[in-house]
Amino acid sequence: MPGSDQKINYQVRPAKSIERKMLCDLIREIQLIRADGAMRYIGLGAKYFTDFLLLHNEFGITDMISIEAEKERQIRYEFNKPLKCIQMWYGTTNEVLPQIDGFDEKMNLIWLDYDNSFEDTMLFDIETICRNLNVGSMFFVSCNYSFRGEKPSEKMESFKNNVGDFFDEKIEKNNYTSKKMPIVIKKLIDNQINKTIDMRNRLDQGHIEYLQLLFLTYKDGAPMMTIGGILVDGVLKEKIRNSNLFDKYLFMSCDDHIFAIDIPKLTNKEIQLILKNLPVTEEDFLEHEQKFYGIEYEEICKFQKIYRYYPYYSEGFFNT
Amino acid sequence: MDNIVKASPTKEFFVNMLVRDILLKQAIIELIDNSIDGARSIRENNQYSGLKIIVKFDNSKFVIEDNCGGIPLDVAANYAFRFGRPKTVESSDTETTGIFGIGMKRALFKIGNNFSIHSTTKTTEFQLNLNVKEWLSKDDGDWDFSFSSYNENMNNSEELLGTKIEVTDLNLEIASELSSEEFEKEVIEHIQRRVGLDIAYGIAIIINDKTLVGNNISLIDNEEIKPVKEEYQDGEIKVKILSGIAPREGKTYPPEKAGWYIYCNGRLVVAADKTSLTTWKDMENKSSGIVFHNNYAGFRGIVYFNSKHPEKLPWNTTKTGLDETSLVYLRAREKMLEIFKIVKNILDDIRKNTEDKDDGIEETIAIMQGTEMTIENVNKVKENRVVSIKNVSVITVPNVTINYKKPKEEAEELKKVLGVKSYREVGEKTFEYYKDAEC
Repeated sequence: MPGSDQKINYQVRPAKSIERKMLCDLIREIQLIRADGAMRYIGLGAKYFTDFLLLHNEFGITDMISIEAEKERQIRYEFNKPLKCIQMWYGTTNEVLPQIDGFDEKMNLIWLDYDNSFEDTMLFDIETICRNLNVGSMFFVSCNYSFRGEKPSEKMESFKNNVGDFFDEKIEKNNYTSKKMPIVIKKLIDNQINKTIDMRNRLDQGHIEYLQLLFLTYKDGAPMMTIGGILVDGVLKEKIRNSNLFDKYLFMSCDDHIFAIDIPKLTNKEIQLILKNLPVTEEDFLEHEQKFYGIEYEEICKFQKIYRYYPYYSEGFFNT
Repeated sequence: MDNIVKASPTKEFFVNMLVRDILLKQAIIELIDNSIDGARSIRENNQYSGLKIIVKFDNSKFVIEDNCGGIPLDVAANYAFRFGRPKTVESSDTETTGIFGIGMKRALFKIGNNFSIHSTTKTTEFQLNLNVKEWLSKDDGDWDFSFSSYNENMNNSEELLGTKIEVTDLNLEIASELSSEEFEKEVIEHIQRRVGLDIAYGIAIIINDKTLVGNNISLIDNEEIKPVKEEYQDGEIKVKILSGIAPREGKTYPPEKAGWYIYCNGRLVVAADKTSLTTWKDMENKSSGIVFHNNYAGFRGIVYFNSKHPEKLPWNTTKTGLDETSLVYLRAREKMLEIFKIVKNILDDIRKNTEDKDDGIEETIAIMQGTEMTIENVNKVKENRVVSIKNVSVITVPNVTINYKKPKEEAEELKKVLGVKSYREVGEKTFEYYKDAEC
């Protein structure tokens, strides 16, 4: 039986941190392909603004909008806002997103990092985004994918409550399991994206497409998923295809394949040991099993998949 | 046998079939539109003061007379009475409503069997009389009318210019409609709504001696609550979308006035729409938006499509509705859907605020004045996407609701004493009395 160190990770939301860094790698690659620097970031900063700081530091983005639903605590958000270049827009995403304009002025990166379970309001946001984003702009949506109930029929019922008219009768009941839930959600999201973009193409005689780049799941507590991609035209699609991004980054996905950020529970000493020996093949492992002090091959594999993004924290205090 | 399959239209088709697509009031508007098109061609920038359209009807006669410039002789001879618009006609330089080349004929056929048209321009004049039954009895290949008289190279004085159309031998059901007071009232309201913009520009429309008043939609437009506005060019069509909150009328927002209003070259083609034709959810379309509810009675949206090429505007041939498949309209609709979200959200916010803590926002907005959206005022509104209750400084006193139960008998007694009709008023009056007596 695994000990409590196998169940609880003592560090702070490491999966989220890994996800953010993966996203940065992805954005860097897309920026290289597009060869175009100017970017605007629209996100949900909460009061920590972690993603804002990271994107500002990594890419020097200075045009940033944080959407904050809690209008009542405006003063607190203004206090916590770490950068002058972050504009605060108060209201729900449903309220604020349609108010934002200037989507054709530069590349936009939108990350709607919701913390609640998937629901219809998210699909309204996706509709607004897909109506407005230009070719080359990216958007990602994160949400909780757990739904109340043990049996699939119960989960299906609570999912139906959340998505209202968007509920897809064609998706069979046996898909409403914890494991397959991300796929069900992806179907609804894809439908909404494609419907909106098809309409745009029909009206503008355009040929815009949505190309999925990410489909991740992770768990720092609640089961979360992130999905999103980029709007492309024929030229950009070809460039991305030629860049072999999907081979280079295992965490990327353009289909139903889910990359699960699964962090093995390892001590710092164990991590150091593995790092020194990477890459470890199954052959290597079997040959020198004793030098891994009981760390399992499966754990090493999991770590290998994410080690470049792993948060190598140490505890510290800020005295201000 | 000749290798010919006959597909040419018959006159009966035009006289008996096409008229089924329009109502009498629409036929009358069609004729008024022709006069307004005349006004547009002689006056620039919608300055119509001094121009008049006079309509008179009873159970034996229908007359429409205007001083809007008249129909030039060559236009009458070559285009005005053609069935359908010849390909060769050049577009005019004004934003007219006449386009399809069936409007006037269809309207006249709808009304009666005998019509006479007299029109005078600066240099020409003509008289055309037509008996429809005689025209029908002529050979099917012979579609043309002939002038009863005409003159060219004249120098007519200003006050003579204009057109007068008289229809007699009215169709049976039309005669009875035209003699009903109910119909007169209905047609006046219909015309005021449909061509309200032009009346506002100064053209006088007088129906059976009653002068019509134009009405525009009013929106709240002040420092704190501004309408959302988006303006863009779609090919040869200029599109303006405006949406916001209507001022309250007395104690309520009449739900029948809520919704979208769509104008094509100044002619209202859709009024107070609350269906999926615009941005609402209904039986036809469940996938986006919300179903109309009285909570949204303050919602107003206005879309203006303007073009010097009226045939490209998204209206149907009777100009009484939209061509729902028009790409111009569908492109606008995508933008309307987003704008709708903005205005819907503020309406939701207002209601939520009232339900949660009523700090007076609803009442503050309710007493705001509206601005009539005449063309000048529409142009004054700046492009804007932000509207929020955050910007509203409350000027009314916040309210609370007090609830309590009392024996019915006693409450009934108080009702009588206070001379009021509801328990709610009993509560209000007794509260006011106590405050006055003790505070």
